[in-house]
Amino acid sequence: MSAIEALQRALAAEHAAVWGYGLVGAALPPAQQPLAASADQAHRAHRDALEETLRARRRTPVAAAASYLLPFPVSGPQSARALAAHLEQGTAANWYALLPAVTAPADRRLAVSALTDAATRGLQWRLLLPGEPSTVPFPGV
Amino acid sequence: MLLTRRQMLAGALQALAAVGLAGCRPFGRPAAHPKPHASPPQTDALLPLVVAERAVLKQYDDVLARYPQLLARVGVIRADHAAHLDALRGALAGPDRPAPEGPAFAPATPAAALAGLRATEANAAARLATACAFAAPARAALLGSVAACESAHLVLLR
Repeated sequence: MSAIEALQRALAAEHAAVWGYGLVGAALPPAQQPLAASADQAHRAHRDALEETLRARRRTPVAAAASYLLPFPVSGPQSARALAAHLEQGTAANWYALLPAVTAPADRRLAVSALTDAATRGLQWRLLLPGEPSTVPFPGV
Repeated sequence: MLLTRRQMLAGALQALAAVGLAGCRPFGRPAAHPKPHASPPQTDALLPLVVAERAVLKQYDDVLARYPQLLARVGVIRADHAAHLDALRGALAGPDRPAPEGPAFAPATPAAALAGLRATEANAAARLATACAFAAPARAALLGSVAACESAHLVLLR
C-alpha cells in the first residue's frame, strides 16, 4: 500500500469514528460521557492531523461520507459501548496498516500515538463490556 | 468499522488477503536475514529491545512471586509481555543475549509493586515508540503495536 493510500484510509476511518461517536455519546449514561467526549476529541485531532499531512503532500484529503453502515443497531448503552470498542478497533487497524507504509519519523510518531490512543480507549470500553478480553497483545493486528 | 458500501467491498478483499497471509506468528522473521553462522555475528538494533522486554517480563515474575494475590490483576499483562518477547525474538536477525542474573525486584508493598510496574510500562512504551519511528518498514508495525499495548497496560495498573 502506498503512503498516500494508507494515509487516506486512516483518515476515512477517523471520519467514520467521529460520525460514530456522535451516536455513542447520545446513547451513553452520564458516567461514561467523559470517556466518549475525550475519545471524540482525540479522533477529531487525529483526523485534522491526517488532513494536514495529506495537504502538505499536495493531496486532497478524502471527505467524510454522508452516512455510514452500522455493524449492528445502536439501541442503548450496551450497544453504544460495543460500537465505541468497534470504532477504536477499526481506527487501530488503519493506524497499524499505516506504520510500514510511511518512513518519516514524524508520520510514524503520529501513527504510534494514534494507535496507542485507540488501544487504550479500546481497552477502557472493553472493560465495560461483559465477556470481552480486557487487553490484547497486538492492537491493530 | 463504519464503512460506505464501496469501502466495505474493498475492506472485505483486504480482510481476505490478511487472513491468507496470517500464520501463527504474525511477525515472522523476514526471509532476507543472514543465517546465524553464515557470517560473524552482528548486533541487531532490535537486541536492546529484546533484552528490555525480557527484563520487563522478569519484573512481573518477581512481583507475582512476592505478591501472588496480584495474579488476577496482572496475569493478563504478563501474558502480553510473553507474547511481545516471542514476537521480538522472532524478528531478531542476529544472536540473542542470555537473560542476565540480577537481584529480584522487591517492592515493599503491593501498591509499590504496581507503581513500579506503571513506571516500567511507561518507559517501555516510550522506548518502543521511538524505535518504531526510526525502524525499517518491516519492523515498524510490530514495534508500534507492542508500544501501544504496553502503554494501554497503564489502564489496568492504575
